[in-house]
Amino acid sequence: MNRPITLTTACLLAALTALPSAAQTMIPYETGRGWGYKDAGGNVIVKAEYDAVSRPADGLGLVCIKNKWGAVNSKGETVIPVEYDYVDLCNEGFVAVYEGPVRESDGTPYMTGGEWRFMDLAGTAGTSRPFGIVGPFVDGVAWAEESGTGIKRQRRAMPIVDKKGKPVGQEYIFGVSATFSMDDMYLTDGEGKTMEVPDGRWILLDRSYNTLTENTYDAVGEFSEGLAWVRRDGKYGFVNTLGQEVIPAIYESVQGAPGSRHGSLLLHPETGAVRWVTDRSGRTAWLNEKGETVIGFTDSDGRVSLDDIVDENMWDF
Amino acid sequence: MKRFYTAAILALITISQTICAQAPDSVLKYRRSSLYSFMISHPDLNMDEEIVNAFMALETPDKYNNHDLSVKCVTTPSSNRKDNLMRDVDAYLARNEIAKRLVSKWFLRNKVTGGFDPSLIMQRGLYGATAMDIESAAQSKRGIDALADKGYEMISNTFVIVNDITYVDHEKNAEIATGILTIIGGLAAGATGDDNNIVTSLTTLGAAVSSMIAGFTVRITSYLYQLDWNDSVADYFYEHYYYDKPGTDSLSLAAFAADTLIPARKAAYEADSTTFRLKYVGKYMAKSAKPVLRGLYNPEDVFRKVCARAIDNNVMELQKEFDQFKVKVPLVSTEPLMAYIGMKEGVTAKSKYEVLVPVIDEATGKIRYNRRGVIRPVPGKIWDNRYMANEEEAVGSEFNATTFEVVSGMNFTPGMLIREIK
Repeated sequence: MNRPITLTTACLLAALTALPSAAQTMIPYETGRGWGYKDAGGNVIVKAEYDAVSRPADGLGLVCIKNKWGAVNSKGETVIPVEYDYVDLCNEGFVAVYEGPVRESDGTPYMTGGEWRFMDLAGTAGTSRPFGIVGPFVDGVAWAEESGTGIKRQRRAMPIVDKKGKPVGQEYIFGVSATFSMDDMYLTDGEGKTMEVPDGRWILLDRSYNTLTENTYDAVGEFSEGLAWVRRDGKYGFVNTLGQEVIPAIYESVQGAPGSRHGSLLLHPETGAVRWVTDRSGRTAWLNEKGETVIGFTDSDGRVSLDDIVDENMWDF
Repeated sequence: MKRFYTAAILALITISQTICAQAPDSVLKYRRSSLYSFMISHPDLNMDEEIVNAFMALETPDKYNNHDLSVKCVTTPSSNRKDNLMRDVDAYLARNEIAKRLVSKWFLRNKVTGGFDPSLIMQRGLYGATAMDIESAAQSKRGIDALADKGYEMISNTFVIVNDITYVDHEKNAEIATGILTIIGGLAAGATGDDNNIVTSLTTLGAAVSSMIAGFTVRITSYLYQLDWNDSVADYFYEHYYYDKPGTDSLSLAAFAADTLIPARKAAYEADSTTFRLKYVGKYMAKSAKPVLRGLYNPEDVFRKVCARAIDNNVMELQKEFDQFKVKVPLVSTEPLMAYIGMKEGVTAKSKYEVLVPVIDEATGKIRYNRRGVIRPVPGKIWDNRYMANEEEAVGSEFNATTFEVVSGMNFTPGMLIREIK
């Protein structure tokens, strides 16, 4: 087993427990027996009886005993029993629980071949049907993969090292940050690059687990400002949070998709342009959130030279 | 002798809503300067893509109105930096008529019809509501004519910042070239806020991270320009170029189409390449601080935080150096004295601020600011509002405003503006 958090250095522990923060009400701490949580005042709220705990998210903490995972809240109550093979993606009142095999690749554990389900901790949706893999709830919707393609799903964690670079453990990430990427979920190689992700059959779910998308997609991206890229039959487009394919999946590449170059959208969103797409010739166009063209296909990728007169069409005023 | 009146002090000019003396959470509206910022990238240098991505994700500093134009990034080979980049920037701004485009944005000029719309001025100037019937007047030049200063103060406080951003190559940095990874546990981070004496964290989702990311630093030179909007330019604009956008009803559209003067005005405005200009104000160059990585989830967060803080720092330094660029923010309460300004704007224990009351010169219709007193921050009560300070759990990030104490003066009221003094 890959060892979870093993911070034992006294100085680190001292720093850990000395962290006063009004914002953080669940502060991990360690005793010789295990890990737990204290509040900002140093009062124990979860006894140090777990093999590992996570950075808290949405008032919940991920906890582990003997390779089984669950969650506790800031009152010290067990919210999800410690019986799952993993628990993750805590966001907007939902978490994802996993039951199935956990394998290893170069010492790194990953999950594949099992079943993921959503749990609605804040509402009434209960537990969802099983999926091959799932993404987090963002803006009230979540991606789910129906077929179970053999995707290798990693535990989202960060290494912890001391000032001299000596590894001292891992910190598990339970919540979903604003910069979350779907790539964060997939197993990475030794250099941190995402390993090959097989095509799947992705659908979009609402908070009641209803399917919003008419189509299934081979691959999908995370939602950002209401849009997520999708790929179907090798072509890219964008879906909104209603599941509508507002920018049809007909483009060779789109902003944010794997392999697309970064930084090409150099137009401010005030122009109405929200995403760029490229055609077969490699030309770029900028579209609004309805899929309408703001700037038609041009050989320029949006970068302009300091020595140029900028194409008048690229100015909004 | 010029006579001044206070224009119902703050109620008519700076605040469009009632404020009580203890209203720290009130959302105060006040006149901000307007800012268009863009960056110069150098595709031949390392990390240029990452820097561009980080810059594009940043928002306009909240003490300024966003006056961005669509083009946010221009490129030039890094070799040009050694020659005379400022000369090239000057030429770029002139060649692409940036000043005129900024004016066009102020009046929401429609590129097809050429018609102007003063509603943005009305909105940002807070002239509406109590001063006039914004619903009817703001839609036409009658609205502008009715304003005390015809929007002069608002438009003249329009700035452009050109940020030349380059990556500081770590290979040349002996300290980092030692190969020590600086991926330190976030749980163990100290909460001192001291960038140089902190255990830092970087989430890498299980992957090893190179010192290129953990020690990511940039050098930014910020060039500041101001729109040259004076009486003669304003008068010329209103007299020769301005015409209202067409209404949406058929009669208005027909009248607009039948107006034979409009095509000539439109053509004249588009051909004018000399009336509207930018004035160079000054520049500031600095290297970003060593990043505090606590609370960050991925490398993009690191790039964004470093760039944001470096740009904020340059903006702050330009404010200190050039009075016309200084921000004025309102007091949000008087018991205690508080304002939504903090470390991002350079507030330190040694800072001092004058408390200002706007008055209108009846003769010229222009606004000037009279000093009512001086205040200074209360030690330990300075808000850390720097980019991602909350995630870093920096000292002071738990506040939502800075608390001040009186140095001189009295009878301060919420809504009075404060401005830093040397």
